[in-house]
Amino acid sequence: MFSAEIIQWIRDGQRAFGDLVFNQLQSFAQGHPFAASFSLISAGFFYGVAHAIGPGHGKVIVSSYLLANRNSLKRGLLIIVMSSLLQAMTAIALVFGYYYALDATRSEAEHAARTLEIASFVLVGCIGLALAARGCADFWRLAHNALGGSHASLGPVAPCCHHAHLPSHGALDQSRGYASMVSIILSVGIRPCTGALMLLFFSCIAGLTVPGILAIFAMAVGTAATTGALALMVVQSRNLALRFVDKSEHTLQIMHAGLRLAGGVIIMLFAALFLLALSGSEDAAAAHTHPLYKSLR
Amino acid sequence: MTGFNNKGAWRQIAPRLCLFLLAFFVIAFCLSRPVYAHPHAWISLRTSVIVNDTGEAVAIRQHWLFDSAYSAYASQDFNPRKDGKLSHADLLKLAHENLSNLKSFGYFTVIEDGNGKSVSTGDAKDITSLFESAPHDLRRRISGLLAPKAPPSGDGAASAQKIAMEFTLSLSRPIDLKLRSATYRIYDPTYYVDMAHVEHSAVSFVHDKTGRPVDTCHAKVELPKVDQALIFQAAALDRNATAPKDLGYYFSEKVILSCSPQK
Repeated sequence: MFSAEIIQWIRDGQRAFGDLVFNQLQSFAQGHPFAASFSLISAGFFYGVAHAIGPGHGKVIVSSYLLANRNSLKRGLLIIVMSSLLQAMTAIALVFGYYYALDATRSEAEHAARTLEIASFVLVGCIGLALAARGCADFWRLAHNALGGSHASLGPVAPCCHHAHLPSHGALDQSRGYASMVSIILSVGIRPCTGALMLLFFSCIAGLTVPGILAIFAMAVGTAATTGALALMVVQSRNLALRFVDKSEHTLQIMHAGLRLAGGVIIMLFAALFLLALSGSEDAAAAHTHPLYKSLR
Repeated sequence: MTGFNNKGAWRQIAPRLCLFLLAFFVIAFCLSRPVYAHPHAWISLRTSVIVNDTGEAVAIRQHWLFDSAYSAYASQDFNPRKDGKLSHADLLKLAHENLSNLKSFGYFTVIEDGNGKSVSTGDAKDITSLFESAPHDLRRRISGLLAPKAPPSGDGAASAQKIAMEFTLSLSRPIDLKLRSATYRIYDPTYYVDMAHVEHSAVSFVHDKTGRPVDTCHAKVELPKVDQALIFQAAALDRNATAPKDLGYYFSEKVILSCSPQK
């Protein structure tokens, strides 16, 4: 139990801190626009780095994608960078396109962000479902081949099942790969980060519109850096794990089918979890029902 | 058949994978604590208790000073131009709208007479609003705590343009302050906004006819004794979460009013 004085002290500090930071930044922006812009942009970067450590931001989906697909580090990094940039652009489009150009209210902009968030998680769930289905199909095919009851339609099957050819290296996989990449980028990228929205609103109010936009992109770079580091970790641990297994083609195929299935299920679980959390928390516009915020457009 | 062989491979790889995933989830969830806890805005209060000739409180005039962020957001959002500038007419309109929205919440004001019976108020009147160049709250009560004899501020340090609004609530019946002390609290029950008499001597007494200060009356601002658990409860509330009813009561100051009987 703290004493009443200490608690009062903390409350006063909290009260003063917000004022202090806000005013300092605002006067800084007026007096030293260059330095203020620099600090805003670097703050955006570090915010992105720190922010991406939490759940969301497509980390789960990208990690699962990396676990489930071979030789995909480059692709994974591309997905990460593209989806982070798309996220930044969604936030910018919401604030400048919707709030300013189309004259929406701030609560409407926040509401739209929430709708996009829900759409994003639904799409992520669909991707999980597709991945899991692919894993199941792979398993079914492998089992089918292993039982020896191979059909001609499944392609040439070598005498020994170690060389069973699944269409995993072919052109089909290639195009399927691009399609899945684009769908992952879209599903992750259309979800604007609420932190980015707040940063943008704040910098507009402080008179730092252009640096605010740059800060959002810096934030995307920060997010991509964290997520990319995680992707490297995932690939490293996957490779480490692979070192301990028998490297026959068949084993690898079974493993990848399993990883696909598991990854798909994990992605679906996460999408469901986030959707559940979203439905539990109130609409962002609910904050505007407070009597002192109702009138603020 | 390679089935058994594969099972062995899985047995090797599964624990590592599980461990990795577990560590990942734990780290991810630990670092994703809600950043934006209640409260989200701060109002510094100044109140004048309006007292009549016989030492009865008849009305309360309140001065609400909003924090910089609220003031900036209001400047941005409460005008169709979205240019961050409010005219005097805009300010007055905002104050009127805010107060009409606050009406069903009793203007966040709870008044009790000496017997603990609540006293209702009329509608807010004499509404004014303006931008105030206010010193940072930091140099008020906090500096008082750090160095109790700190000189009053006014050294030309950074000051902010904040929105202030003033209004009067007349009491439905006069409260005699001579025999028993009356109390009031001004607080947001949801604790979305933290309201406090931050300045020293933020409560004053004014004569209803002459407008002069009444020096026979005395006010004491009793700070809340907040339970630690409540702080954590408030800190865990997201920006869009609904607070349990009356959370703000536990963070509210109790102002005790009394007048000496000689006048």
